[in-house]
Amino acid sequence: MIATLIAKDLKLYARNRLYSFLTVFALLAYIGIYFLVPASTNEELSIGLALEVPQEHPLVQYVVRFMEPQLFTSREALLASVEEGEVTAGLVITREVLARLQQGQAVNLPLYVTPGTPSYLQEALADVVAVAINDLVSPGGGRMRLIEETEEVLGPDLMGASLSMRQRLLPMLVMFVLLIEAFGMATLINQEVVTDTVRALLVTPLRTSQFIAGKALLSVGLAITQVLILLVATGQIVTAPLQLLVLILLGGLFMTGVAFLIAAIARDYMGVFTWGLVFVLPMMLPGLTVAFPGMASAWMEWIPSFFLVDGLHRALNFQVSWGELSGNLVSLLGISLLLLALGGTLLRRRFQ
Amino acid sequence: MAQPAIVAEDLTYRYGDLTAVDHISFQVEEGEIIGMLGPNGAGKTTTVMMLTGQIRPAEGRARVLGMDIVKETKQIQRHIGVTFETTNLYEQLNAVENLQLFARLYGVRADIRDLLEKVGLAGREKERVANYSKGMKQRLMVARAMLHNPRILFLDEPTHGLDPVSSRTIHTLIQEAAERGTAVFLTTHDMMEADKLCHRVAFINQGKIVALDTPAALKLRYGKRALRVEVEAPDGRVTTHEIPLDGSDGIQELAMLAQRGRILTVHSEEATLEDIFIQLTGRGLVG
Repeated sequence: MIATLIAKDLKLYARNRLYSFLTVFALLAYIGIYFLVPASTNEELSIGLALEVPQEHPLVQYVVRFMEPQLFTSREALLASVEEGEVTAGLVITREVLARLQQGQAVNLPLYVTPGTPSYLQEALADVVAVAINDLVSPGGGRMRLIEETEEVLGPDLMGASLSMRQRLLPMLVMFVLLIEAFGMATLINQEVVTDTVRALLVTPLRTSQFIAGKALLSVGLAITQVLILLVATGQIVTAPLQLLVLILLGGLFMTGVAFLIAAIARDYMGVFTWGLVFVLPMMLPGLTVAFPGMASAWMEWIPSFFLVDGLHRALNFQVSWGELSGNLVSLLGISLLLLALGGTLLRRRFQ
Repeated sequence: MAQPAIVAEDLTYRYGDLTAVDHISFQVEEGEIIGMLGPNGAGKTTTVMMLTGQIRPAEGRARVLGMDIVKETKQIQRHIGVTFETTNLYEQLNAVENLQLFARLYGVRADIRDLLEKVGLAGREKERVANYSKGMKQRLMVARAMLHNPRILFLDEPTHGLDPVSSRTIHTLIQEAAERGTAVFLTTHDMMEADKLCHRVAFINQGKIVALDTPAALKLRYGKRALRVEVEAPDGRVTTHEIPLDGSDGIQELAMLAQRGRILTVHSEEATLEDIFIQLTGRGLVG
């Protein structure tokens, strides 16, 4: 009976031109977006220097040796280069600045930075410039201090291989596929209620539990298929196939629970849309913690979908062990089962 | 002796404070067509919903084919066919696909082509149901209900708002089913339909059955036994006469009228089911 229901739903799904189009279009769009965003990250910080004084001046020579800047012949050329992002930051050394430095007087030295440079980087660059100039005008200027640095990275060392935008975006795209699927499933169930076909089904030997199981299997199946297509098309399935499969399966269960909740609460199509926004939009937020780590708020990690998006991020981008992933998997399984039980119970009540 | 198809005892259902069905009791035999007549909101559909296991009664009990409607719902649903007040077909599927789906749910191999022929949908079976007229959809719903040769058919307003051709097709199907031994539980507020089809009718008003008998017996009990005769006199004047059939010699009176002039019309003054319903409840069947 469940197989009969699934076959019927697949037929209806395929005959609904809007659903079919949106599903295919969204999948192609996600794959397109993935390949359109940068695949690599520029890890170098470059500083530009525009000189309005002779380059042979000893102070200028010192700055050039210390910072290894890209030199510009005019202030305008420097500013244009900074604005275009060709150099990360820029300084202009004028005759007045040089004169005041030589006299040991305070100077106002603007640091021009590329738009979008994170604040922590701006501060770091300003500190480097301040240290360089202070060292220059101090009695011991120009002498290297006897300090040996040692660096220890806690966690995966991404030096020379930091995550590209593409890699950060993929977990969020997977979330989008799953959430759109939740929307579609909620609509499909709601349609059965609005058109009253569910009553026709449930006066046959078909049980409510079988009806709900049929919807759940279809929902998880569609979700897994679409996410697999995305991961295969982007070539990322090979990074951790088993872990990804388990995560997608749990993600499918999670989103099915969300779909059941929406379908149980919504009275009509408008209700599905409204409740869909209420449930689905917040579920998308944890994706931001992965895609834009410096810009997301810490509270986003409390949204249940965080365990999924974080798990995907770690499996896709850090090749973590099963042990390291276990926290995400257990939490996700628990939340998914809870949502499925709650959504299933509410749906059952609605049908009765 | 065969057990009754349906036995209901003190069946009651409430929507909050409103008692939709109020302690009704009745029995339906195999091969019998019983009509439940009443206006909208009288409790007809709620009764069907209880008997088909869609809702649980608040009080009372009922047995369908000897099985309890609360405890053995799924077993009962294997043997009943139901049509609903509103059309609830899969409109993006065609007629064959709709029927195949339900045949699989019942676990039967049905002769779908033959069934579609009977309901007059042969030749249109590959069209999506969304393109069907209301009458075609209703006929398909009846076909869906009969797909697995059920022992009881519950038909909720099966001909409401249909054209005469569709109504006649459905009436024929109902009568044929009853002849094969299927019990038919029909709800309607069309007294002509009930009069024509039903072996017995139950009048339901505000959740209570106010009368239950054969249409003929109800008419006898509550109607007026008289003839209304129109006579044209030799001078062309037309007069109307009423001849009581009880306690008088009606034939003799009719013969006297025939001698006085030309008899134009003779009508029985027998009450209609609607007249009886109004007499019993003080309200009409519509509304």
